[in-house]
Amino acid sequence: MSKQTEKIKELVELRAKARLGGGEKAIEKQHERGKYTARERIDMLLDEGSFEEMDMFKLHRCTNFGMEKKQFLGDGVVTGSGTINGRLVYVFAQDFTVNGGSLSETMAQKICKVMDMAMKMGAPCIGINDSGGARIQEGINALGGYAEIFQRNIMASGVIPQISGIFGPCAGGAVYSPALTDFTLMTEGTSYMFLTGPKVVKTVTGEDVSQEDLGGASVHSTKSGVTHFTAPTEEEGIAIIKQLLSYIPQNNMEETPRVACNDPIDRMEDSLNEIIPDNPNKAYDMYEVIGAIVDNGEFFEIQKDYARNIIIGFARFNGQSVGIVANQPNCYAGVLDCNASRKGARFVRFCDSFNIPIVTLVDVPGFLPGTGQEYNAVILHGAKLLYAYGEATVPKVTVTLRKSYGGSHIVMSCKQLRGDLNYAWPSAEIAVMGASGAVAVLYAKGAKEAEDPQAFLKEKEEEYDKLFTNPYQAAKYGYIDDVIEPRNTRFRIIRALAQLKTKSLVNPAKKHGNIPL
Amino acid sequence: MKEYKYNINGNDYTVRVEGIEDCIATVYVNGESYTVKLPEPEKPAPRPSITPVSAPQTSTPKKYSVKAPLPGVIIEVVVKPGDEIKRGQTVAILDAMKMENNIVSEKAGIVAQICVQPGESVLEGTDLVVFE
Repeated sequence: MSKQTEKIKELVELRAKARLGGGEKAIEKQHERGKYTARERIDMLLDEGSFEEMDMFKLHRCTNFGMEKKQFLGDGVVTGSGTINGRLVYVFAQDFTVNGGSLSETMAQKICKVMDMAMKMGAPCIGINDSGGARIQEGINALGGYAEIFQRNIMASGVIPQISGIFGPCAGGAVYSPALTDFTLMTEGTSYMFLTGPKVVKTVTGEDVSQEDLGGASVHSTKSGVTHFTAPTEEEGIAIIKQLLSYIPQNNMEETPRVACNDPIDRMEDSLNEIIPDNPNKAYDMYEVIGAIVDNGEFFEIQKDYARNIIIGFARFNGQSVGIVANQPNCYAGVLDCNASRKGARFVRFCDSFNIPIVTLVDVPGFLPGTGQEYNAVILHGAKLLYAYGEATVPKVTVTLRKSYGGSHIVMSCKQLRGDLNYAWPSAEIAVMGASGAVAVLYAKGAKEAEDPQAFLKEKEEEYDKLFTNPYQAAKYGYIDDVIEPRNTRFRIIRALAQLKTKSLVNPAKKHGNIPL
Repeated sequence: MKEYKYNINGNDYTVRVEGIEDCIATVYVNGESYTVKLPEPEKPAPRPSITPVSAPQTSTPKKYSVKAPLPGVIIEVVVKPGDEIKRGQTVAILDAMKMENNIVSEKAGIVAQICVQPGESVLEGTDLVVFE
């Protein structure tokens, strides 16, 4: 064998070794836990054969606590680039089979390298997290590594889409990287996220809580809203990430990807003419409206089990990807509260960052009253949504289906918040407040003097209803651009988006605004 | 300190209580100092230590209850004790924000207790239905 052949043989052997990560035993254990290895995950995520690995031979430099003997090629993270449906992406996947996926200075350097590449190329960055936390043996160097990653997450925010998959443990400081990214997905039953684990919780507060109840997918998808998606299996999780990517552009300079549309743009949806119940106290399902107007009824929902009184997600109109924000009358009357406001605001800002037009479907009775809300700063949370809409320069189309009252009318992308085209159904009620509340204030004195105060107030309420609870007051002053027939909504939205395609609007130059956080 | 004015048999007395220590009080009557012993107060009967019939078990996990998600008025409770409830099933209808809201259970279980009546106003977080 020639010297060169020997060298090549050595390379082949080294590669094979690196591909084994923490070794066959560790891989077996990972599979027993119902989890795939980092490489298997990347293979599932990327187009077949497109993966270009980097830093396969990188090693850690720690010599404390006998770490020099625990060397694995690649040091616990697999990084590189590849394509998803032909589009360039950068990925890193933590390898739990190597030292429990613990984060070392070296691992952080590898992750930072792909993040830097993603920024340079303007391509999305996807991270798969499965790590026990910082590599304690490295001490402060591991911490420094985290901070390097966070700083890059922050710099990349609003420049390239960042997506985090949580496919195993993610605890302590490690949780902040997913928190800084645009979207987080957690697998059900096998992943968890928390700042302090059950053991620390027990010693500090005495609370007995399981990992799942403290930071499992079920908690973060319903109670905290930390995760945007959950998936019963890793395969389904990967599929969700791919689908998500199909709606968003490569970076903040690109337009959203367009797909061919075979759904007629002027499709009439007669059911919409009947969807609003005659009784104003009866709810209906906003999902039915969304399903009826978007291309092929396909709606990709985000945070579907969190703050269900507001619906957010992506869909397409005539093949163009848009962000949809809609109140859900079927859940808590579609009221705006702290959580719904935060959920809506973050999504509006994502869409605005990445040039995705926003379609807003309004049926909102108001902000939720009460000490519970006021003590939790509903003022500030509501202001986030207001700020997000007012700041957004992407095309904004708003359709008011029924209620749109008071402060919540303003917040939900009203005309004065630079809404480009604001439509209303004939069933719309756009007013400063509802009839009974308004009449009680306006005719307080009159009612006292009336012979039958109740009959008097009822008469005045009817008068108020006739005058104000309709779309024509708003239309009269140009706050609504047109009153449209419900079944025609799809066509009108598509025409509006076509019209707004060349919209050019620039906010004043500033370092950054001061959104009420 | 407290000062009292008395008129006894036509004579004026000004009584000033200077201080009370245990059962001994120092008082001035028209400027002259006296030490007065007060009757000992009756000792309060020792409080019987309460032993509840069924001591609350602090370690038992909290029972699941369906809570009011927002303030409003109960229109109807559509379940009764003993009913088996599926996850996502409506247990009550709440009039809130001028809308009839179906309040659904987030867990499956058997109804142990109904906590509210139709027409009752409830706040956010009020227990509506408690499970076994």
